[in-house]
Amino acid sequence: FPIFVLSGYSEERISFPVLLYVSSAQSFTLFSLLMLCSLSCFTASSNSKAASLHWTAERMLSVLLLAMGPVAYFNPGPVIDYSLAAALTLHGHWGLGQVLTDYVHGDTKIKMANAALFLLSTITFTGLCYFNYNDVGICKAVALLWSK
Amino acid sequence: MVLLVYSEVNQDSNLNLFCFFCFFFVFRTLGRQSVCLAKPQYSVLYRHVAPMGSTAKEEMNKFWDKNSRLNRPMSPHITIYKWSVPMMMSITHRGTGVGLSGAISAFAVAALVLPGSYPYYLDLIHSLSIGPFLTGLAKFGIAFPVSYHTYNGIRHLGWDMGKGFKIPEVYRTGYTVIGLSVITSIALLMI
Repeated sequence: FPIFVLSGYSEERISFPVLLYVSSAQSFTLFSLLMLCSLSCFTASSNSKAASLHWTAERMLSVLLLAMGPVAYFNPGPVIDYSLAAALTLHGHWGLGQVLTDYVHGDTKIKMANAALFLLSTITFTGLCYFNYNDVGICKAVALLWSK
Repeated sequence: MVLLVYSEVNQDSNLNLFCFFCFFFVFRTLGRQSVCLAKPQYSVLYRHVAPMGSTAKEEMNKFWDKNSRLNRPMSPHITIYKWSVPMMMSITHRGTGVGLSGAISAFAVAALVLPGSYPYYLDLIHSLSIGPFLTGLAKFGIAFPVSYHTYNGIRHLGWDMGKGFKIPEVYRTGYTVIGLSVITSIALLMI
């Protein structure tokens, strides 16, 4: 995340439009593009392993997220904060994607719903990174909330 | 196939019937001789298999287009089928997942939109003097969905590895998940 490195040299808060553009352009779309590359909308063959790979990636991400729980509890800090932001957003994005696949039918409706989901996930990831950078961070936030 | 059993796609029994017929013909062909088609000498069976003229996606779209064009009502499904514990746990897993995702997204939007900092808003809530019972309730409202979704998620991962499909196992693991979720949530309340 070069933008975060660069801004580490300045003390001011990152402006909202800059962060929105950068985080959506860099980090989150990186994950989705990786999956997009293997999506069968680009390859029309019936031997495409795209769906199968997506399935495996979903499970691997779930296991990863599971492991992040104890790490976040015992080793809170910015690294786990950003990792949690990415993993949570992607897990939610793929999960909601499955919900849409189950209940939304018809080509245009599917396209629109997935576009809206992508937008939501981008905003979510941006917001979480913004919170991690400019505020206390996810781990600290949970700790503070629970100390109530 | 598991997804057909455990997912909420039973909102359209017509599609289930459609999938059933597809699988019916496949299994009829395969089951006739009880052969293991993974062996290389059986690749000869696939030599003359011609792919269908349309993809599964096209077939599905045709199905939905025709039914909405003819304004056909949907067959009753969840209103008439007897609810079972696995069914309820499955939809709860989905419900908690969607709910938690929504909460995270709402939090992210709030972080972007609201002017103050997180400790500021926390102090604001503290000053409201909510009282221990409602505070506990709110904590439980957060802890239970997280616990349930996590434990049931582990159960799902077990299924993904092929374990725990026998019906008694499904119920046993299911009750374990429910019990663990309640215990964990109450334990988290105490912290």
